Amino acid sequence: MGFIRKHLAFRRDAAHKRRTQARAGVMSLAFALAFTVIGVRLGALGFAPGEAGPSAKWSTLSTAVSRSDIVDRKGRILATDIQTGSLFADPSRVVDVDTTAEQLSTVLTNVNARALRKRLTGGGKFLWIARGLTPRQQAQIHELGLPGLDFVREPRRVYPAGATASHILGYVNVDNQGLAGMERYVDRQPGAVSTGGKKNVKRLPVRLAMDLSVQYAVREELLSAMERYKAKAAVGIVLDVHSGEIIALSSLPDYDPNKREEALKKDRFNRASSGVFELGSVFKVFTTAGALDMGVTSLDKGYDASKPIKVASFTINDFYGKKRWLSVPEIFIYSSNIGSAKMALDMGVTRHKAFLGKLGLLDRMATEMGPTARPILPKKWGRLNSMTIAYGHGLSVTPLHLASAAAALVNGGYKIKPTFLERSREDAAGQSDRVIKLQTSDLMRYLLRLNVQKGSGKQSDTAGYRVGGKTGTAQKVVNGRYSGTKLLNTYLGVFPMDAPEYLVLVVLDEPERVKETGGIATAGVNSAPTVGRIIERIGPMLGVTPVMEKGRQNPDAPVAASY
Amino acid sequence: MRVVNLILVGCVVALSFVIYQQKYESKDMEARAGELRRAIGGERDAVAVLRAEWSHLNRPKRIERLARKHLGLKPLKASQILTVRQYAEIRQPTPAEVAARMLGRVAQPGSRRQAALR
Repeated sequence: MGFIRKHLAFRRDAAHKRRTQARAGVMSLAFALAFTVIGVRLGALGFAPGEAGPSAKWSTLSTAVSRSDIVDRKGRILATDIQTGSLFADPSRVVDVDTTAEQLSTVLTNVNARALRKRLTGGGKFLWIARGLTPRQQAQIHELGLPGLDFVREPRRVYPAGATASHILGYVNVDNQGLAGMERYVDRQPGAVSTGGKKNVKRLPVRLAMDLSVQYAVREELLSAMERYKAKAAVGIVLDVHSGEIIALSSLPDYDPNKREEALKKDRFNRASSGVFELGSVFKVFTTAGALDMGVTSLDKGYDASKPIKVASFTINDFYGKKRWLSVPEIFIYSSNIGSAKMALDMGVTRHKAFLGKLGLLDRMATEMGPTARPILPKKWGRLNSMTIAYGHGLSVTPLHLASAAAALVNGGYKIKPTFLERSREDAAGQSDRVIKLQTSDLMRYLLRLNVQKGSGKQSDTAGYRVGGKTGTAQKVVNGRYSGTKLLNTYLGVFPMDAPEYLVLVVLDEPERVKETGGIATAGVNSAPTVGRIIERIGPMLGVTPVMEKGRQNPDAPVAASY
Repeated sequence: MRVVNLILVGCVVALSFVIYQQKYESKDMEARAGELRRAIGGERDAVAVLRAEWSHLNRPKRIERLARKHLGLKPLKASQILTVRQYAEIRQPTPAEVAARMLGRVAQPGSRRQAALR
């Protein structure tokens, strides 16, 4: 009995077990499936990149460009980016247009409430209100608690030295893109700029040839010269005659690059590279150098300058006529137009023109900022043209052309392309061609120094720095005629003359006859002393050792050596 | 069989615990990394502002003004620069002169002090 019962129980159990097993199989399959799904999802979530922060979302709104810093040759910052907040509105979320416009105009002085109201009612989803706000302005706007407004962080260019180097640096637009000067150059360098707020990119600064201290001294001296001689405008250039580096370049009036709207005023253009001028007698350095280099004349030869030259209806005369035969050095230091014109004729029109061309005076000059203005040549270059160009009339070039060509006359005879970027003298020598003989360069050094010791450049002499130079007093063309009163005065100075290192060029536009200059207004009494003052200030900065002549040795020295 | 199952279940529990732990930890770290990145960005911006500020304060115009006002300095003249050879050529003061000058300098503050004591 017991056995049967046992047997039945077994059979019941076996059937039960089969059913249970099947059920468990289905269940485990379902669970396996569910867990796989969950597992896969979990894995996917785990591998997904972390959520992007809000800053990443906003920065794509910014259209501003991040830029490399610009530093001077000693690493001082001239231009850098700082992060500022830019305010924008979502007009669809602005609740009260009138209050919003009203309150914003109290914080942002340059925002017009009425104009803003009009723009806000225009609809849309995105509207710039003001860009490049200071942290203080941002805080004030934040406190207003107006809905529908938000900030984007954007880079904004600042120029810590203000107007000091404005024309070298140029400026940027509201999107931080370079529009002029070296800022434009930065834009064209690969990797120097980036958009979309990628601000963590490491960028090397752009290092200029300019020395901020020298640049400052030049600008200050030009400013005081403009005031002293009542000039309308002024240009100053300091050039390393061996490396071609532009150590300083100032064109006044200038602007503060932090206030870019100033740069757009009509008279604020860069006269040093964008203005072409008939520079007058300073061109005699090229006439003399050309004639000496071609061997058509020499220092012991001379020309008859007793009578004016008459060509058709045109008369060439001398400013301070000596009315006699003049030797070549005399022609140079008395700045004789007659003598120079005759020298140019001896060279011949073709050779004269070719020589000026070789010095780069007849073509646009390429610089990192872009090409300079194109020189204005006579339409048909004849004998009369060569004669007037010999003393600087009839050919208009930029001051930068003059500086670069003149450097070749004193540096041993090499035409060196000027640069705004740092360059070693060795590199420059490798890229430069000889344009005049070494002996000619030596003679030019002698003549330029002689002109300071005995001629029109006396007032540029600065004790210790052995200055050499040439004046140029050009009459400006007013209504198609040369004006007797409106002058453009140039002084080309070089120092130290025994082994030239730097060239200093000053151009003063329309200086007046003032009391300090004894009622005259030629370059010798205004541009020349300006160059002298500049050299006195920048000589020590540039490390040029002053040498005192015997007899007037160091009056201050015992004081300097006392303790 | 049961033992194996038990071990497996144990493993699953342990693994899921570890995974969740890791997951939360990494989430925290990511958040922290993001925070730090933002902070670094903020600091970098602040550094940029300070560098601009520094350059602005060191602009030649301001330095010149301060040097003139507080230090009585003027642009260097060529006559103030000497080479070592030139220095050697200048007659040096004798020890007696030096002593006299130094005594003269010391005497002044002394007498002033005496005047104050009186």
